[in-house]
Amino acid sequence: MEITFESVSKQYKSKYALKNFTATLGEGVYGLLGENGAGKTTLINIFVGILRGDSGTIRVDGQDVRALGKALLSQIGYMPQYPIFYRDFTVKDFLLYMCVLKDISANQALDRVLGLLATVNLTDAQDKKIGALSGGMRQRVGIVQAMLSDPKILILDEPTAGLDPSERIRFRNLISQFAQGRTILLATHIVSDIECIAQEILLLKRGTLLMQGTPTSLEQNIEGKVWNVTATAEDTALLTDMYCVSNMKQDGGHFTLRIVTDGCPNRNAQPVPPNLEDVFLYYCGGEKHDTSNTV
Amino acid sequence: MIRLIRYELIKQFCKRSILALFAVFSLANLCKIYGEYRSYSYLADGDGARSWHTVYWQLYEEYRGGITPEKIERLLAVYQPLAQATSDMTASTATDDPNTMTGNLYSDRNLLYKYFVTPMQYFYEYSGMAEQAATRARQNAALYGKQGAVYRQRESAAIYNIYAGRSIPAFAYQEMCNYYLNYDFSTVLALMLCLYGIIGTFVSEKETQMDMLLLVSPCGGRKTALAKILAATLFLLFTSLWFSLLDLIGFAASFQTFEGLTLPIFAIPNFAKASVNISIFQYVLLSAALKCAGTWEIGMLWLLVSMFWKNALLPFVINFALCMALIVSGAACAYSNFFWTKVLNPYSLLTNRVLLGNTEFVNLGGFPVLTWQAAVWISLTAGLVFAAMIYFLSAENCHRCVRRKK
Repeated sequence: MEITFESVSKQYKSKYALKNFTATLGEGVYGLLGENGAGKTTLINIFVGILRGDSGTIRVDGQDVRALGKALLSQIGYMPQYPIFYRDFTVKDFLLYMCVLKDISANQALDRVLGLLATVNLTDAQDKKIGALSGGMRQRVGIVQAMLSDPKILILDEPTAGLDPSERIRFRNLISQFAQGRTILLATHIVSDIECIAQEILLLKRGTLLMQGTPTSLEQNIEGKVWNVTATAEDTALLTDMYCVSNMKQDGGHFTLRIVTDGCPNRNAQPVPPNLEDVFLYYCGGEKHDTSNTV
Repeated sequence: MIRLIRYELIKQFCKRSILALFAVFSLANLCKIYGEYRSYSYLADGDGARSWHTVYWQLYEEYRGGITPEKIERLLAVYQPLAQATSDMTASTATDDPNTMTGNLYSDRNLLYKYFVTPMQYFYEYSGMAEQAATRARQNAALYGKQGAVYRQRESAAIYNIYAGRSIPAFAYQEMCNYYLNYDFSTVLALMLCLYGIIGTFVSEKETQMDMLLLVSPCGGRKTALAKILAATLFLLFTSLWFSLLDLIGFAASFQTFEGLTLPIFAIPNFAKASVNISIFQYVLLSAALKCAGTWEIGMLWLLVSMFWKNALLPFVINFALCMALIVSGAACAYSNFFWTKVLNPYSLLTNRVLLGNTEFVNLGGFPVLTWQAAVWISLTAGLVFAAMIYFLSAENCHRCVRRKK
């Protein structure tokens, strides 16, 4: 399955929420990375049909999504940002209701629900009210509902928001588990969510696609632009003002700073291999360096 | 679609709060009905051997059924001596007089007068009054015909058809029916319950952000909106019917009888000019149907108003105000001579005696249409328009809209 975005734009008054977004996605996990308000949810909403784009075309396997209509919806599993669902429904009833909405026959529905609940380790919670679930359990219910129709495309909008680290890791593993034979688009502003599982990352800033590539290729782009600097407390304050600091560690009376910048920030600076967080910070972390030649 | 409607019913209307409100309102209604009986019926004085209640039902066995000259003579033979003896207010006021039925002469006279003589007289004389009205209507029709006033002629002919041949052939207890037909408290309770139930239909989806998921589901969007409309319709109809039934059961249980339901509706003095020739039981069914129509129209209007908001508070306030406006204007216009004000107000269908209790017509294309019939058609049409607006204004997946246009 191939999804192609061609110059998709969405404007609110004079402000672009999404500007000429062009990308092609194949099978695998795609991380849509960007700060809050970068246009991730807008892009997702346009793709799934919640919002109407102002211009541009989206194709799935070469067919315009507007011509696919219901056929497209039956291929999409979608998990919105901060789902609350129906608090008074039990997990099983809610999922059975979602089966009705997804036009899954009554015969298949129960098997499908129980199978997926077992996969996400929620069998014991099937009779619990949704209102009584923890955040992590609710997110797992969210991914189960998205998977009910065995979709070819899975869209997850900030799926790990509000989860503790262990739930986040569990959720990440689930996504990897479901990635086989599917296109998964995972929007997030948390780098660690996609660092290990995304095959490609699309970096969005203010509605514009800055870069698309594998995590390694993105990291290679800023090779030689990440530095480790050991500094005193006074120098640290100065360096923090001047540069993007991706990490700061106190070591006795000194500080070790991880700085992302084009040139060497300090005589004592040592170049270090960049990671995805550095990439995110380099492109989206403020105006302390020049990014114009990277678009 | 049936599965969708079922889930909509569970989701929106089987909430604990709604079920609790149903129980509380039903109980309040039954208490109010019992209160009516205790406050207004003279027969609510217990089961003692000389209570009005006991004496009435003993006498009732003698006078119930077809009204015959023998029965009237027998009644007058008992009542007239009592009336004479008490007319100058000098009769014994003893309350344990063994020669009386209730222990007191005045009490005997009052019981007979209120519960037998007055209704029997009304029943007996009604056919004459109806005949008079029919004759006058026939004469008017002829006169209007000569004058070329076609609408007036048709109206008079319709009045003639309604009143000709009306009579009340049998005597029966009608106090329970009288109070039942003039009871409105449950209407307000049903409306409040409907408002509370309806208000969350669309709003709760937004509050839980399920609206997004619905839009992206193959059976979401307008299909779900249709299921919501149908589920809301079932809820409105059930609530309306439930309170109609509860009223009947409540009154029957309080007054301890179903007697009188086979009498014609015009046997109740308030309904002497009723526009329908049906029994009280048939009227109960018709009244329940009219209440359903009115409740449905108001419910669809509420649903339409509520679908544009993200939380329930503001639409609840707006809809409550709307409801109050309908109730107040309905009460203000109930006895207006400008019948359209009643016809257009769906609240008239809820307190439908203002429509059914009088023979009134509105002019529709030169033809006289009874106000209740016009009100029903207008209500159903308006309800359908509101439902269609809800359907077409509800959110739909953009990809589907484009496809439909193609």
